[in-house]
Amino acid sequence: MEVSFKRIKSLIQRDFIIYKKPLTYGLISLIALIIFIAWLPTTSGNFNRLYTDFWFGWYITFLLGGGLLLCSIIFWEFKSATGRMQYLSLPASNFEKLFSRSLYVLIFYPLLLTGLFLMIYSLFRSMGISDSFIGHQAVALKYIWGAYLSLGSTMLIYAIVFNNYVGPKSFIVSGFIYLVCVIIAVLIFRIIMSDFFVGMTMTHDNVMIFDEEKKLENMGKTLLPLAKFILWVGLPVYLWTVAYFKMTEKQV
Amino acid sequence: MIDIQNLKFSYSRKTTLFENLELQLQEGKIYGLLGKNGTGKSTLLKLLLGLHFPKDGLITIDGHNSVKRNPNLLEDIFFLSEDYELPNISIASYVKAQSPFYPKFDHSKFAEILKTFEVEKEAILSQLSYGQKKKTVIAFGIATNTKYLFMDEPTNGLDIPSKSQFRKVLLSGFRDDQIIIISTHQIRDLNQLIESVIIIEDGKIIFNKDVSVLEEKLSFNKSLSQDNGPSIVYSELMPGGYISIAPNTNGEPGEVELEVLFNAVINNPKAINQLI
Repeated sequence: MEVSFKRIKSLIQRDFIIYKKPLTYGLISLIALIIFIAWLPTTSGNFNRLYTDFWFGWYITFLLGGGLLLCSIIFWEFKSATGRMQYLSLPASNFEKLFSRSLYVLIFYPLLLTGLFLMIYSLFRSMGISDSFIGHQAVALKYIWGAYLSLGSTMLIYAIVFNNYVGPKSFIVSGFIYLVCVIIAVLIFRIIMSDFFVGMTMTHDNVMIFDEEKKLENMGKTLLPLAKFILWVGLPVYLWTVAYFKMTEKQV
Repeated sequence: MIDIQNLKFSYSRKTTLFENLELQLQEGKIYGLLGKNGTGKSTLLKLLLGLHFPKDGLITIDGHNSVKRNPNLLEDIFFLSEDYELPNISIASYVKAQSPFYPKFDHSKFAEILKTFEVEKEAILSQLSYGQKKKTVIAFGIATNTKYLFMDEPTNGLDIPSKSQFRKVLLSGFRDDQIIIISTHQIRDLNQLIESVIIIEDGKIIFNKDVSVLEEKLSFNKSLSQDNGPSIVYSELMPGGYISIAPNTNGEPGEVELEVLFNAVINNPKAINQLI
């Protein structure tokens, strides 16, 4: 695997030169949209203040909605055969191309969005019409970032595999995969818990798998770090690896 | 060196484009890649770049497997495709964006070629005509100074003076370590440029000869009436009479008419190959 930071820098520099206008328009639109959304409730007659939940809700919406949309169009060149030809023949490795584009969606966008939200929040806060940006939701935030990392990496795979209509195609494929996984999970559950089933109907309402409550607590202690590891490291690394191989397989 | 071994490629399962194609290309030559429509000339160039993968066989360029798209190899290849998309930026910005990928890029050479082609460096790419865009990309490609220059129909869209400028510019910068492959239907535009002729037909290389050899071995004769002599291997009607191909017996190298040669090879490859 060829990696050169000079080439990664050249790829980023190239993108900023070629896509300067769309990037500028996109940034202005994003700022305008956030300000508009924050300003809109203040026009209501019974407006009191912008609550913490307001900021958190919209932040998550922009992070997941906007971020995944960005992921779906990040390999914009792949829409046409000529674009694919020009981008794939650029003297940079498949990894460097994937890495440079991943940076935008998985690092730059969340950072930019967080910065914008904090700035706009500060503006409304200074006017005395806003609660704090984040409260008890802070605990959930790191899991949401983790989920975004995995969802964004999944979307990157789709953006490489599909040349057109990445969003709708990803939705259909993901829906199908989800359905298959649910069916498999139900069947496994049915097989493991066969004693409690008649046909596909559960005959017991309360099934205690663990006799002692402590055992359940211990299991939670073991599983939580594992789940965190999977969310933050395992899943993204696995998905990036798949994305990398999909990139190496990409043809005109 | 470019080495293609046992190449098999197809777009669909039903039709095969290349079957057991073998080709070796040496440095210091300008190759003309000729063939009828749909014979796979552009596809072959894309295969060399790793933009398509062979179903079987191996393509290596300087020992690198083309499928890997090794960046160290790609920075020594420039591909001028027949169609291209250019961004809505100035030529100067385009060069700023693209040139860092080509370590041997020569900015003064680019400016010089652009001047020859009479294209303004500050012009916005999207506002240029098709021909001007092509000239810009040709100028960029030559200025990259890459070892390998693959051109797909480079003279399409160029006006008459530009075609001659293109030939001059390409020849003036040509080095002994370079390999230039020009895929074209416009053979007349490149008659004095091509040093080696490769003809593809039915998924195979049916002809691969140096022009210097053709000049020694073949004689292209023009006459008012059709000559059906025993030595004539091919003859065709042209404005003002006929042109025929016969063995060159006078020992002096003659001029090769590539268009006539192409028709002759497509018509009867065995007869032409036997003469050489």
